[in-house]
Amino acid sequence: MSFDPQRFIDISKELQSGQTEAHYRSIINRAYYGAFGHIRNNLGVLVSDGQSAHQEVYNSLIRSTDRAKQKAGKRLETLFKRRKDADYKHRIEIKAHNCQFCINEAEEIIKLFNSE
Amino acid sequence: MLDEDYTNDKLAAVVEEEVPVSILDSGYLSSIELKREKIRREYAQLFQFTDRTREVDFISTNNDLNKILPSIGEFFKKEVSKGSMMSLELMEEENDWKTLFINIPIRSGADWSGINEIVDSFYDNMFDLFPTVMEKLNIDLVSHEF
Repeated sequence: MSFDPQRFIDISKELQSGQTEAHYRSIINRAYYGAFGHIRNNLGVLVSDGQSAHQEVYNSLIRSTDRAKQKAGKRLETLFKRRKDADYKHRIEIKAHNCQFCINEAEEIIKLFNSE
Repeated sequence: MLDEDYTNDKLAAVVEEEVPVSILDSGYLSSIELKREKIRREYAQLFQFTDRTREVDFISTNNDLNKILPSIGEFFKKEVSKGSMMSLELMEEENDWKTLFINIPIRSGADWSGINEIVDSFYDNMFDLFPTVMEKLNIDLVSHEF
């Protein structure tokens, strides 16, 4: 049985018991990858030469004719930006309240993507 | 002194747009800087720019975005940020994936369900009316809790 990336969101929630900024940054990272992985697997995205998987997934969503998927694409892009900030921008402070927002977003994005 | 190749028309435009004297005094006033300054002034009441030139240059090279961004800014300032200053931040990835984010500060105790409805309608309207703009514009709701 293949791994379900949504389990990363469960890990995000478990990490909420931690109280350090390293926890907060990891929560955002895992929340993003939970949503991204779920959508990528379901879209069956093949990565073109020179393109990133993140960009391929985003492009597939916003160029969809389905409005829910277009919205999922924009919200996933915002979560992607948050994840990049959490991973790489060490001069900005990531606070606990940012985490719940990102977990909620990851779950909402998956709901939007799964809706018909 | 200004460079000799500046035409009178350009100087007239400088005067008309009331470009700060400090720029004139610097002795270097390229058309690119003029354009940047014009955009900075147009957006001064709505947005802060994260970088001195990146966002401004992106706006100046995307006319469709430049035309509608002030209206979008006014809308979010009134309906969501409630007057708090928003910021523009350009996300640049490889392969020309560039998106201008409007970072909108949300105060603690804000009505999140109402805000989410506004954002949802915004996406609907933009995808219907300005699909090409939506490929290069996004919003980020930044919660401020103390």
